[in-house]
Amino acid sequence: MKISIVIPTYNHCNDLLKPCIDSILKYTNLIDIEVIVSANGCKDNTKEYVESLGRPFKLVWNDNAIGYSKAINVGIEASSGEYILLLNNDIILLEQEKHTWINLLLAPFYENDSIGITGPLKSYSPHVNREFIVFFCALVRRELFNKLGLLDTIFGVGGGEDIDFCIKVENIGHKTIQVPFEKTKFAGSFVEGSFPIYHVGEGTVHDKKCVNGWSEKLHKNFIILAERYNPSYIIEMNKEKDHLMLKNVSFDASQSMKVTAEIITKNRYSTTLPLCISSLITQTHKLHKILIIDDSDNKIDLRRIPIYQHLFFMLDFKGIHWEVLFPPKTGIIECHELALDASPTEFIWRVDDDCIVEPNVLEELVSAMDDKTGAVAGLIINPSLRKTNPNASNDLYNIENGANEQWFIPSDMSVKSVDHLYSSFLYRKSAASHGYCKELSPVGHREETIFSHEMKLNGWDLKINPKALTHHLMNPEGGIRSYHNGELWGHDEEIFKNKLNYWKLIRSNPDSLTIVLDNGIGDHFAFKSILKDVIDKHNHIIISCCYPNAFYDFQNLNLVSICSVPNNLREKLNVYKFMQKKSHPINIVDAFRELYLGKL
Amino acid sequence: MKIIISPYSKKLRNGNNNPKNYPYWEELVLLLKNDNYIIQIGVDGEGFIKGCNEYKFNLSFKELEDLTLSCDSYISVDNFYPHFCNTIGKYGVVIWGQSNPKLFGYKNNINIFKNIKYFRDNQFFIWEQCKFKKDSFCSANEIFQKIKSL
Repeated sequence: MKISIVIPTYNHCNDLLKPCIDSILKYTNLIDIEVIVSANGCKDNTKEYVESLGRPFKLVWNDNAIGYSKAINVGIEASSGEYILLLNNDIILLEQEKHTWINLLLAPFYENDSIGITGPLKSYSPHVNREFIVFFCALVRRELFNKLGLLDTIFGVGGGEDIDFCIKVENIGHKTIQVPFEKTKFAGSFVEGSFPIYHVGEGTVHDKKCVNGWSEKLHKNFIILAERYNPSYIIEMNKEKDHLMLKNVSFDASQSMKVTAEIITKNRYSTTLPLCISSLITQTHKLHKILIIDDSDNKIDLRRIPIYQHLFFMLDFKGIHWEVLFPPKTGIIECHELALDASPTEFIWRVDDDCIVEPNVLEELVSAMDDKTGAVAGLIINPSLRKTNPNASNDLYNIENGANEQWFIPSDMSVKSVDHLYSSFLYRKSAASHGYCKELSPVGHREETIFSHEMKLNGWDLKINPKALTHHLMNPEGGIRSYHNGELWGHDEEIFKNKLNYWKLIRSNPDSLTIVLDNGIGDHFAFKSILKDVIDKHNHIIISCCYPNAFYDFQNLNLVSICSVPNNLREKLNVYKFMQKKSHPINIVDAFRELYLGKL
Repeated sequence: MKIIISPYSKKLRNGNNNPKNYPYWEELVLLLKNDNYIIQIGVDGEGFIKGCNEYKFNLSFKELEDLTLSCDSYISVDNFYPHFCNTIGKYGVVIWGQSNPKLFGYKNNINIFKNIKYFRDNQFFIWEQCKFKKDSFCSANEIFQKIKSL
């Protein structure tokens, strides 16, 4: 047998493995080649699928998820090829003459006996200060495994074992080379080259259902590598840790609160984003993690930019986790939702990408957070506009005055409760179960006002601590709200006004009953069958609906748009969902009766 | 008798025929028209059912209420109209296909469906996810005979 292709796989049979195998079948002459699928912990149809393929496909099965290195190793042990082709399940071979990819990988071995590993992508690891072949696709001389042993399983679920093995191979005098020999190009977040392959990129491990805490695991693996091959990296990191311990000694009490900072960024790579990250690194209350949500038009791998390399090194030195995420859809709402979902901590700190925060800001925000508080903000001040304004107010009903308390330096620097918050603030996940307002456009005008005030409506305090000062540079270039369509702001303002109207109604009568008609016009009429009874029973009702004209024959009803109502209330009072939850079939009118009159 | 017919349910966002739309209206109108005066109601974009005596489109709810109260009865598919009529105390005939009248209908109406085996397993799926099935409905003659026997 010339080549054994070893594919580790962990679920994702239909969406990853099948397309991968299909492309192998299409573009490979399988004479003298075997394909070993090393399935571990698969709960889907992987087994049936691989067994149905027949020769030269072979299934190596493990009931449990054993991690990348072990899965590869058992695959290699079951193989007989002179060369081992390590291939991820999240690749697809691209259009090519049959067998081109194999020929490209094999050719260097025929020309030079010192070649140990070939692959389409050679990358750089700052932790070991070395280049390595990325093992999503790599052809390895079998004798190297015999000499050096299999992949080191210390790397657990995966990440770093390729760097480790490549270094070992080079240390015994073999070469690791990229094929073809040309340099790959970085185009946004993609790596481009002429090798006919597409790699989804950590298609399995970045799936939270499959692997929890991938970033943390990867970070640990990088430390292992640095300890083995680049001790100076560890020395520098320890120096920095010692320094940090001295600096943080007076703030031990507050350090127990783990906070993730989210920076949503767009087209500000070379302006304010690095300043913002830098100011987060130097917080006196150490962050647990920084999540950078990159919604830029032309995305760049920040690890390739020197200034970010420095920043990421600094984060590593301080033991602050970091992750850059690319949202699947664009716009601020999607980005904030992604941050809410991806944050590993209960507390999340929103920071704009054109803000520079004073070193004590997080410490001050944390100090004002208590069990009843949903969110705490500081002052957000444009350095060129440092003013006072005695009329500034964060009372929601003064919002149209345009003077937010967070924009001005107050005479009284004590913490105070408010109705809503602006821009950057620290909040707790459990106070944000209502989520962000999905009806808003991608610019998300007023999103933070709606988001924070709905916390208040759900019973949480909102606070401003003026001792926490953030400089808002108001960078005119880029930014998550940099859309040219002015109508989007108008659209969002309309939604906001609807919400304001609803909130005013709620405030004017806290005992009012909200009716939610989040459905078709027929269902509005179905509700009308019981409307008179509802009016008789409740002193004050607010009807949030999609078709207000269905109530053409009623006077003096409080009708508001369905967009006004918080998501969690919409969910709770959705009549169809209510009907579905019932153990027995219930008529829609009876369902409305039970929802709003509490009886059948 | 003066009868209103409301033959269509709302257009689906994917452009497919709404599975609640009864496919044999023209045959039914042909059977009914000898003894009845038929008025079709609807909105722009909906087709005209051949053979009706009158077509009233895009009425306001107040106009629709007045018209409905001036007629003897109505025949409708499962759309907003039976709900509307219920609020003004008017009862009629509703033709059902895949949705369950126990959940979405009114006991005071005459609810005609072919067989419960055609009801959707999940009555709450959005209609865009559901295929139109002509055979889920009674034929025009079956509907006509049922109305006649009342």
